[in-house]
Amino acid sequence: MQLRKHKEEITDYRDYLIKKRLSRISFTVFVGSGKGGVGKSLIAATTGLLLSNFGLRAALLDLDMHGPSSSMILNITELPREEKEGLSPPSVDNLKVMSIGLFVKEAPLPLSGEAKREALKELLAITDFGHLDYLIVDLPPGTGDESLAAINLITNNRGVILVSSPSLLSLQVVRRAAIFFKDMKVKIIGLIENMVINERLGETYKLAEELGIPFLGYIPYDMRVAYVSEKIDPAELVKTEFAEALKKALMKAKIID
Amino acid sequence: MHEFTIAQGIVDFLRETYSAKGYRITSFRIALGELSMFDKNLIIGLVRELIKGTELEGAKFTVSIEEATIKCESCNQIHTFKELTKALSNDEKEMIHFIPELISSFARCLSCGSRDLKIITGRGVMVTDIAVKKA
Repeated sequence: MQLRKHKEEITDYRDYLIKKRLSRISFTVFVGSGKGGVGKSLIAATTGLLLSNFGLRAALLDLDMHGPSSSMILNITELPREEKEGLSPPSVDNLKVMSIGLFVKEAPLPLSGEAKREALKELLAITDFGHLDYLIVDLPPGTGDESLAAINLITNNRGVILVSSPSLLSLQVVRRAAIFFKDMKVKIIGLIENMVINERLGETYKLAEELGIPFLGYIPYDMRVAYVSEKIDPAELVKTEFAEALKKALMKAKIID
Repeated sequence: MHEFTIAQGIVDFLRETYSAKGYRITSFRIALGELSMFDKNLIIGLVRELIKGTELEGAKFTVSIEEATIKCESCNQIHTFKELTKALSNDEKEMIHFIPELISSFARCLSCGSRDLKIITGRGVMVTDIAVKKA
């Protein structure tokens, strides 16, 4: 009988934990853009609330390691709770929310590329979301470490909703992001144009056509949600014109019926 | 009870990776990074309990603490964990216990004040020196 020593095989048990946790999640929706300031985090948070209101088991994972904003958008101050199966995230209207922002509050987050990947891996390994119909992942701007790490860790049953503002600059960056997600074999669920003032079939629609991806619709510039500092109640947020338009986009994407 | 999650994760991982593939594990080592601040004796007790009645029962294991060293990327000063965390509150230390990278959110280089801190050793938990026999 041969005795084998796996000395070189320094194993990261977190890979196993992550796999186990992800096996309980039916589908992951990344919300990305490539461009900052297009309302991605608000769309991700509101998507989570809408799904939860539809009776679906949903959670929101904020992966913006430098500017996590989901806890602020959803008015969450509670810390994740330590339980037997891991860290239990706080929730609002049955939507579970996990963000590095919950741990640091207002402290700075000076994380290098490798540190971000490690922190994300740790977060996924220790968080117990339980069984979910949807995990919504709010990606940071750009296609850097957080996006790459998330795509490499969450490998099955996943898709991305791309968000653009009507500006040509935003569209140019979103085009680049779309190519990135296609190359990384992440299904593109569709493209949303956010912060729309005049609804008309414009450049975003053309870009979706050109890329061969579904155009999910327009989300109006809604003054009620434009200034998150005004602390909108999540129950009120889902009743806004913004949320109504997003609901239609999610129906078009067949995420909700 | 973060330790339980870790202990369970390690045991499940070993069972799925080796036992389920027809190997019998005779020994293994768990290295706990100092930054993760796990209770070594608690981990030993939990792993001992969790392997009872499983294919891992009888396997010898050791648990060691890997000392943490943190380098300031601005001035190259190397710090120990104790030096850097001396002035931190228990709440701040607990956040580092969950996510070791958060040390740069709460601590600063003792020489130059920079927050550009890089963990060199003693970050998290590793399972190593796994010795197996074909069952």
